Amino acid sequence: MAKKKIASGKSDLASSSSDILRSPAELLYADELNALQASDTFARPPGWHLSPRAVRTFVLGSEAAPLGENSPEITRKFYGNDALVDRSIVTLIGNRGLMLIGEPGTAKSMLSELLAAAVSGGSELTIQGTAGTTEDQIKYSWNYALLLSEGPTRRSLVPAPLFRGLSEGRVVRFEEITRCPAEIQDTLISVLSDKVLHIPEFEGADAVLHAKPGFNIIATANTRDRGVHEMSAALRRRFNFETVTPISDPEFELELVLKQAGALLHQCGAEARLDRDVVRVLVDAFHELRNGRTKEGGVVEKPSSVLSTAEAVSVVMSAGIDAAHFGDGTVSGVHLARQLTGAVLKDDEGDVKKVRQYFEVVVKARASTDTNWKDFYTARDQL
Amino acid sequence: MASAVRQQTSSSESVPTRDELLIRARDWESLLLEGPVTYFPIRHHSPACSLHLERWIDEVRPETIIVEGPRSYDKWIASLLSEECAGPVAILATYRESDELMATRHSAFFPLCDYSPEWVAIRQGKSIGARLRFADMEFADKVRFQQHARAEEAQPGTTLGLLLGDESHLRYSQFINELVRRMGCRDFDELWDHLFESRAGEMTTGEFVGTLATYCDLSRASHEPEQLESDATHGREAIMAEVIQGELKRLKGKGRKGSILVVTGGFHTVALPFLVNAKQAAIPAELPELDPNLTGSWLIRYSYDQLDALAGYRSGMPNPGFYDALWQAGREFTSIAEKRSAIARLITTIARQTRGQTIAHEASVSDSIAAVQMLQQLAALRNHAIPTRNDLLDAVTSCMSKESSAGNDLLASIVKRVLAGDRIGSIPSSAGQPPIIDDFHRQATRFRLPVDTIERRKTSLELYRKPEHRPVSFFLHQLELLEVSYATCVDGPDFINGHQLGKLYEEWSVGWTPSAEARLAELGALGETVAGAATQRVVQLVNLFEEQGTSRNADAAVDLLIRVCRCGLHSYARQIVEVVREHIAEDGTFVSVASGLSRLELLRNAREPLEATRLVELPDLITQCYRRATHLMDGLANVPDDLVDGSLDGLLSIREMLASQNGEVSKENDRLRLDEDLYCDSLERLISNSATPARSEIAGAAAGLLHNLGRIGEDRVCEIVERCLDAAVLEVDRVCGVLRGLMKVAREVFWNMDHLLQRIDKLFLQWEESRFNNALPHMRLAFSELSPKEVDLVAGRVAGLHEVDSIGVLTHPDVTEEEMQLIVRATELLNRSLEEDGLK
Repeated sequence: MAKKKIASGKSDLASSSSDILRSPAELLYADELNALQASDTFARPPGWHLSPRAVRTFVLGSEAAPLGENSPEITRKFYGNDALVDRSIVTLIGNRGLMLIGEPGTAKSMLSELLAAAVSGGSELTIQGTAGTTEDQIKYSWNYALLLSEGPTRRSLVPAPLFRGLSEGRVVRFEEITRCPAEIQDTLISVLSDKVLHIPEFEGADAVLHAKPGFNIIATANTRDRGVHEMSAALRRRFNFETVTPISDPEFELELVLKQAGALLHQCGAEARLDRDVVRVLVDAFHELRNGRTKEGGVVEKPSSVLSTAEAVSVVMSAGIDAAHFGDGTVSGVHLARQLTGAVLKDDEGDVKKVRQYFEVVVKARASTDTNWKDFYTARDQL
Repeated sequence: MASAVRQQTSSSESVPTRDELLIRARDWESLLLEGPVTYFPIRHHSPACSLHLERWIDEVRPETIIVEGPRSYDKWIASLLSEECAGPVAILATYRESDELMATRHSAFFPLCDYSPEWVAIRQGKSIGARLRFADMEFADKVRFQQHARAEEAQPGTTLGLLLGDESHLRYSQFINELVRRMGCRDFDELWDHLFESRAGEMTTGEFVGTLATYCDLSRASHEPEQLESDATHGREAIMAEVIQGELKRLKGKGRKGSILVVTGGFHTVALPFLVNAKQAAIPAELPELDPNLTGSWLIRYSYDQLDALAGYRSGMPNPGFYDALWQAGREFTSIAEKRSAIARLITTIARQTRGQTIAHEASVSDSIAAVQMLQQLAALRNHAIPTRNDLLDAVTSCMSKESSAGNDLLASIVKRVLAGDRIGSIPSSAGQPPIIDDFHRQATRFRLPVDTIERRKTSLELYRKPEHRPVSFFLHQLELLEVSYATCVDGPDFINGHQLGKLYEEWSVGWTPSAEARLAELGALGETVAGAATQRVVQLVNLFEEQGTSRNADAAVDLLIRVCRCGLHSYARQIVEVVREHIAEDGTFVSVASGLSRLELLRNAREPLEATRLVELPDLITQCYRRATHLMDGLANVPDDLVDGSLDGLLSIREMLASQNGEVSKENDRLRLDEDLYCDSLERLISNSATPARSEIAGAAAGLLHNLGRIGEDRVCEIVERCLDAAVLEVDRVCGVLRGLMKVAREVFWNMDHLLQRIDKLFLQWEESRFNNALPHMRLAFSELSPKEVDLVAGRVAGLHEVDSIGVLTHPDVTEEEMQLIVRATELLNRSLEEDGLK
């Protein structure tokens, strides 16, 4: 059945990929998932579409362990912390949920999407946590016309992601869980500990929905908003916590930014040329501002706004669009610096000052020896 | 994009493919294991290496086993084989550059734990009756060689606590870095566990040796030969080769396969066969003959936490407690279940230790279960037959931490402690320790102080009430003086700085550490006993401060004397007394002599804790010091500005001493009799008409003191003040000094002597406005000696002179309670915020 699912996903991709603004992981990497499934000889936990090792290969790439002669190379999709991926996969096998926490933009959601796609063959069972999330949106709600005519029946029940995850034995993603009020978060307690969902409206055996094997939850929370300590202890102990940190190696980050920004630009039809050394300036600047240290070891004031890899991608992408539509198609330091304003510097006066100071001290010093830094510096007035 | 990744890591071309690696491993296997000499590569403190080595020795039964380690360590083999010897132990090597007391010293440890391949080879070799030898450069030679090779570079001074069996070559090479990256490992240690520890049982010994040698060889290729020359690697290997060749000659060509087994770090193993088979042996650089008295080696106890602290940065594997648990769980490759449960036990230990701590999340039983489950699944995922150290760390991180990683320091420290292990080794009594360690043990046992646990303990000593506690205090102070990290005084009277003298107790935090023992072994050069070494140390200190130009400083000499008394070295104190005498006689500054004097008095008064009564010379010394001080008082007339304050303090302290002498009710013969006249005459000279001191502070103080002692009357005081205030000196601070000096020693004169105030008042009225204004700041300084109430008193009297009834409102009693509360609260808030900002 799983095979069929992915195969059908593939045909969807063939017919309609150009209509989808952003394809979910299971469509984007359908070939890789198929190849992995075909070559997967290891035991699969009940309800899983792939063995844990194949899931690992899907996320971390096949460089360390190539699949075989005719199989495509599996690309590395998550950088920086392989052990964390191992732990996350193992957590999903067990009876605890997986909680990914970290600064915004550290690819927590991407990791959860990849894991859900690999483990359950699809990542669409997603609950978006907001201040207004209700239990209906998590568990189930009713089609009121049918409810009135038929009463509470399976037909009149409208399943929400958690209901589906339990009944189909799949991984459910809960994004930004700490944005929800604590009482809504606590809905998950009984589901995580007893693996059942009570539906009091039904009678008899139907009143309890037992989870099928393969069900689990991946929650994400970012440390900038309300922290995890506001989560109830009862819920906390039902999760294993993994902290996702920003990528520490600037070269890796550069690779990632180039790759993702390139793909996004291609998607929106803006053909811009991204020069590695030009983008390196931005990645280095992000790195230094984020860590509060320059490459040479000098101290830099850290801005309060988020300077994640994702933000760097968005700056490069905007710069690419700028260059493609209003310039000659080559992204320069000027384009990058110009885009910093909207993407990074939101409404914090202090941040603007800090970044300006960074330009005056660090960027200026480098501008004299490096043309890319010089271009970056010339656009400082637009900050 | 994938191609971009490859391009970027072009350095990785040096890493051969998997198939090439297999071929190379087979080549190495036959090169190293087939001949009469077998070369067995190891990593220090690797249980996997030990298991294979043990097995190999059992199978091949070599006639001779050569182990990496300085040749002179042959003498320790018997001790290492003793039943009483249990890991972890270390051989401590020491080297002094010269015979002088202050010579540059070097020392290094050669740690061995039960699972160290070197020790396993020795023990196993003994059981099959093999000849056992060490082979490596002597530590002293290594130091000298490196100094020789790097002559042009800056010389590191004293180097203590280095490690023999340095593995930084293996750990930090381009090849290893690339391999770590490709395998998705965090560091070399994880890579090692992944490649060798977790799979030791899946490989034959031949495969194990071949694979390890291949990695070492590739790692060696990324080091420059010059570097290996200058850090003595080549020189050391030449010596190893020499020993092997010597053993080969003994065989006279009758060797069979595996007759000689050579156990060295893998980095050296891959070079040795070529050196041994070369026609001409490499000869290490000639070094001048070395005086054997300058070097030493001792077998000492060691602890896992010490091994752990040094591991990771240069040598050995981190978390020795983890590997120890594995080693203890079973010596067979098949004892996988036992090893798994040993690791699970570590997890439950960690969980237990989180409970009752102020940790964000106490690990429950269900957390332990989850962690053990995770451990097994992680190991399965990563293809580890036996979970590795990182599997355990990952499982604990995932299941027991419930915060973002920043909030987990306490958990991390618990994990570190549990995985370090608390094992401390023992050594056979026959191994002979440096006599000073024996002495230490004898005394510590007598005083019931811990000698075998690294848990720190609080010990409270009643210095006054219990005479039997005093020797303990002396002993601990001796150790502190010797910088042995055994005991720290956390609370108690500080006789050296004169703080907290009212305390009757001394609180010590005491705990044995292997490094304390190592330090003692090192101090063996200073003496046979702790007390002897401490005395030598005092002599060193005396020499040192004479060299440093603190010579002729009575205060510093007295400091030394107190230190000696604190250490209970009274019998040795006679020498110090002579030193103090000399310094007092030659010291030309009043300030330091006076300060020395007051501290000698302190020493005399603190009879019980410092047992000053044993110092019969003390009263004599005090008298000498007093005489010298009064003699030097004449010089105060021209004291430099920066010594004025100290001089005032000195004058006052002598006055207090005289006062207490007169009030003393002790036994007649014990009483100190200082001649008050000497002091008073000197003071008189300071205020004599012919010699008005340049600094009027001194004159003011002298007048105040003399008045105090009843030697001069009110008129004389007024006269001196008037003379100073009326002086035709431009600098007003010199003029106002007289008030400051007077207030410092006898402030009561300002409200007891109406006459004085009148005369000062009159003088001020004569002053020009600008002069008075200039004098104000200095006046303020002078008046700071008075309390607010006293200032009020004086002000009232001055107002009276001008027939002013009220001097204005100085206090505001009409503040309401609410206002008061508000102010108190505001002050509190302000203080708190200052504290938070670290400004307090």
